Amino acid sequence: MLINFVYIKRDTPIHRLDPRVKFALLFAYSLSAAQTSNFWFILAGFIGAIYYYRSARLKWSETKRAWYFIIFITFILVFVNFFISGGAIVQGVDLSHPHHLFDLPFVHFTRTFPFLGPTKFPFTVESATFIMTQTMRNFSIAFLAVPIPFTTNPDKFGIAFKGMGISDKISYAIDLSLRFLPTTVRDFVTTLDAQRARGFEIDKLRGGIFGKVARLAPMIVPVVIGSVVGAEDIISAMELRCFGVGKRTWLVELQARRIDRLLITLAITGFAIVTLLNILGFIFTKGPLHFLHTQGIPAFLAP
Amino acid sequence: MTEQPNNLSEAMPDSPAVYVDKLSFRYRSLSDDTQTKPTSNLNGAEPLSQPRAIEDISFSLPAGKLMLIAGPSGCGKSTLLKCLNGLIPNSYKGSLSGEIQLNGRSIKGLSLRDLALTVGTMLQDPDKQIIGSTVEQEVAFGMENLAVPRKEMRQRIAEVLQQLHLEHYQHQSTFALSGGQRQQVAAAGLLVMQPSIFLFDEPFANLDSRAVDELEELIARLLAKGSTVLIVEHRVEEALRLQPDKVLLMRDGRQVFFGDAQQFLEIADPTQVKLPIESTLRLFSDPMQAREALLRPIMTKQKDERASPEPLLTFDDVHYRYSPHSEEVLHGITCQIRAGETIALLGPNGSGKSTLVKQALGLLRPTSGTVCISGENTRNLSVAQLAARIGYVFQSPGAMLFAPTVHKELSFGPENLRFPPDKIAASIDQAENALNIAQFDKRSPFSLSFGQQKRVAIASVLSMQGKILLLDEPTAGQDYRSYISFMEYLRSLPELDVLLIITHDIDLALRFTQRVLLLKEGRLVGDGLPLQVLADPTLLEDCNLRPTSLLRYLLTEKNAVA
Amino acid sequence: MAISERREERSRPNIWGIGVREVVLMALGAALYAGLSYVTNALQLPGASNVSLRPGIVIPLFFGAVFGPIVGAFTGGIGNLINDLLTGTVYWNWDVGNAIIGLVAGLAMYNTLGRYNSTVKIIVAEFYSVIGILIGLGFAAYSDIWVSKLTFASATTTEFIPASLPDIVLGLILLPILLIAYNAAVGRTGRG
Ligand SMILES: Nc1ncnc2c1ncn2[C@@H]1O[C@H](COP(=O)(O)OP(=O)(O)OP(=O)(O)O)[C@@H](O)[C@H]1O
Ligand SMILES: Nc1ncnc2c1ncn2[C@@H]1O[C@H](COP(=O)(O)OP(=O)(O)OP(=O)(O)O)[C@@H](O)[C@H]1O
Ligand SMILES: [Mg+2]
Ligand SMILES: [Mg+2]
Repeated sequence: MLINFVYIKRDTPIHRLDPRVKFALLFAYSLSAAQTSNFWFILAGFIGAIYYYRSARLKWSETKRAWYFIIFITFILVFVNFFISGGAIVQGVDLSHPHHLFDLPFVHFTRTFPFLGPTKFPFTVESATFIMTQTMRNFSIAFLAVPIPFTTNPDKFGIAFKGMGISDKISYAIDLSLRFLPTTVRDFVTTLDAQRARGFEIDKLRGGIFGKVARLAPMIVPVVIGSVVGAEDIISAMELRCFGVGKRTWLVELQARRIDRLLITLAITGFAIVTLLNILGFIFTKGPLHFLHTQGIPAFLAP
Repeated sequence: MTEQPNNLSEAMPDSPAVYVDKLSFRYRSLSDDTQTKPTSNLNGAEPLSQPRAIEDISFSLPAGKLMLIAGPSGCGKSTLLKCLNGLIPNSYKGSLSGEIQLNGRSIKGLSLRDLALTVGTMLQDPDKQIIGSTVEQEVAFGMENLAVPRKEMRQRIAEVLQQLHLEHYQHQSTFALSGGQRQQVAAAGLLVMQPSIFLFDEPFANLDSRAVDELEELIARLLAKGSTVLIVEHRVEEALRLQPDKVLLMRDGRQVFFGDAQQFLEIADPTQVKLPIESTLRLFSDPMQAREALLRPIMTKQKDERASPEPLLTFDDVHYRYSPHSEEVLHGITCQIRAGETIALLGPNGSGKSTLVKQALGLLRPTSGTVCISGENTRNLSVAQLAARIGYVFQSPGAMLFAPTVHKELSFGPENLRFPPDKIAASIDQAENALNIAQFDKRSPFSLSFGQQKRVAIASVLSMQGKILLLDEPTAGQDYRSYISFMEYLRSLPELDVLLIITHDIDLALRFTQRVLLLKEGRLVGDGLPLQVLADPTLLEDCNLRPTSLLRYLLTEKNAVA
Repeated sequence: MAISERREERSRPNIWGIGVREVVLMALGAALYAGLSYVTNALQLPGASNVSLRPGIVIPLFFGAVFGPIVGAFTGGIGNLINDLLTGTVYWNWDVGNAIIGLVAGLAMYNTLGRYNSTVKIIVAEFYSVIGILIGLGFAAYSDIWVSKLTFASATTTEFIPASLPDIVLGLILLPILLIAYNAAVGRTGRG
């Protein structure tokens, strides 16, 4: 079960992209999408994201673990929240007169015994639209996020952050942590193996969550302490090979092609425009400049 | 007290490359409290709980020369190197006295980084040295720090990997390397930096003879280029082929001999350090007697073969690959191991020895084929259950050690197996005495010398009293005497059924085992009596095994008899 | 004479400085955090919610408390980012949240200078850790009101509580164990 960074070597447009672009797109979009609940805007992003994801040519078998997780989260974010918040989940849009579709039977707390009684649960055009919007928002972000680890060679992350204007030390630390990752995990795993080889029953840890952890502690702690004390060795080993003497060169390099620069500019300007529109939306209470603040209910739902 | 770094790089004319005078060091005693500044135990008030690790060492070595440092495990070899490369006092606390000059300049107060420009060190435990996550990164690391231009880096990497025949692994993750490969990569990462003084701490442990040859070639080339090399090695026989100009022999932290190789061979005691057979033979009057003394295969509990026909451990067409998309490591291993056998598993680096042995314990499960222990398929047994019957010692002690004290380390296994308290105590004592580590009982395993750590690791498995014992390179990092005495102890274990030893040491196979398995690229290419299997020179050649002086001697003997 | 340059670096009052030592430690911390989270996931500790339960949470707390806020913040933030990358899902506000956890835990340095040889100091560390977890996960969970358009109620019930409660319990259990063990280990091995 040794850690394998999920990177999959292929030659696709996304693989060829400069890692900085992938991060720029992800952050620009998720920050923009956070600023609106407009159905059409999110739909556009959703379609764009799908296109982006398709061109990464990732197989379902490779990514399904991630997707199960995403689907689970989306379910919580959308439906669980929908019920917890009594259907009134629509955010940042005018809800003065909702178009009521039908009622779902539901329970709510009452003052008198048995403190739990049936209630009506209004299902409105707005909430329907919002559920769709929110689902699409989540997936579109996922479509931009998932390809990053699968299509980016781990060697390139550190220098990518450096290229994003993060301080030399920090970005080098990022590079280092990715180098340490396999090593530390190897330490965990080999130590666990070595302990299993001496009869430690990691395979059948019983007890509840905390019981498990309590049983795990005597295993985790020494490993952690071991590697932290071992950090002394790592530091020495690095200094023994002149780490920190002065300016350093990097074996891996990034070249931003024209397309990369173009995409980054697009991402940033796009984000700027959305933010501007969002602000203008506060000033103009109607008209095109207000649309980020409207829900943009699709025709087939419109009452 | 720290002086401003003085530039070591440009050497002072006609001054020795390495000059050491009255050097002594004592590790900060375990009893002192972390708060106290190390200076406090300088002024005579040294706690006696801990003896000096090295005591007044003095020698000097001219530039461009090679020095061999030999001596029993725990005698202070690594400590001496740590003083030279600045790990002491920069990283290890303690009380240091004496004078060290490199290229004619004192190194007092220099930081590791400044020293590293002049002194290149290969640590004893490659796991502690390797930082890069891929072989390429690892080799490049030092050059990156020295701001070597990318083009030159790529070229140097290509060269060194090609010289060590590692090109094939350039992009492999370092954690996916075999023990020996890891050692080679660590060496490569150091060699490309081209400092003027090299320190190698047991570079040959874990290496097959071909790898040793290649490394020796590289070292020879360094010397020719005029750099100075200090090398610590238990495999004296190999090291001597480098024709060291000077030899430093240490015992209990003191230097007992410093001079040139010739004298060393005369004074050295063959029971202490492993020497060419000729010097051993000097001890015996007639060769037959020598043979008797040398070849005494360990007979584990003598079961009559016919009485217990069913083998204890069977590998049936075992295939293994580490991950679906990585290439297969074991290609159908089939062999049977019966009670009462002692076996040496030989083979080149990366041939799959460790991988194979881990199958028996269920740490790795065969991708196809089966492993059975006394007829029972191991697939149905948990690792812990198997561990009750099979003891396995990992190749690198670092992987096994974790407990705060040696004692806790040894009691961990027996406790998991739910031994009764008195039995635990007994088995621990037994194991500690077998590997004479009793004196470290209360110490932290992390504070031991590499060889001592290895012994603790072995003891921690012995204390579980498994009937089957699988040792992965038990002799690596061991001095000759402690490894002989350990083997002799195994002889005396009453309830041991099977002993399997992974090793690169032909002599060990010849002297202590009844059967040799030869593994090459995941296939068994040899199986039989040691002298028979090892008699075939082409086979040895294929498996990167070099006939030792003992083997040659025995073969000539054999032919003489026949 | 046996005083090393590093020792002086260490006892420097400035707890915000970054030297080679810090760079390496923060890198190691992040790797440990990501690695441990990953391995414990593989050990199938049942997730208490969409935010899976990680004993690993103790790593940013520990690194913060012993090596300072910057190291702690990096350990938490980048460690979580790497784990996100391993599971193939990046949620930037949770990365920030984890960074905050390590940062706040690191403020304990002001009172303890990173040495934990007395019960009081350990309690101080525990205190900062709990605050850190509350603020950090608070930020992460409630920023989802804006990022994923949750209501306050659902942010609380589906994210904040299920995430912070187990983390606090785990932190309170594991942190002292680690601190004590570390203090002892440093003494025994004559390192650090
Ligand atoms: N960090 C440490 N703290 C305390 N004592 C130590 C430490 N490291 C080593 N020692 C002790 O110092 C002595 C010399 O250790 P050293 O590592 O130099 O031995 P060595 O000659 O390299 O042995 P080996 O051949 O097994 O590597 C040993 O007795 C060891 O127990
Ligand atoms: N965790 C791993 N993942 C992928 N490949 C691995 C892993 N461990 C080892 N290998 C590869 O499997 C092969 C056999 O490794 P193994 O450790 O069994 O060799 P070995 O015979 O023990 O060599 P050595 O004598 O150097 O220890 C090597 O080529 C190595 O690169
Ligand atoms: Mg040593
Ligand atoms: Mg091996």
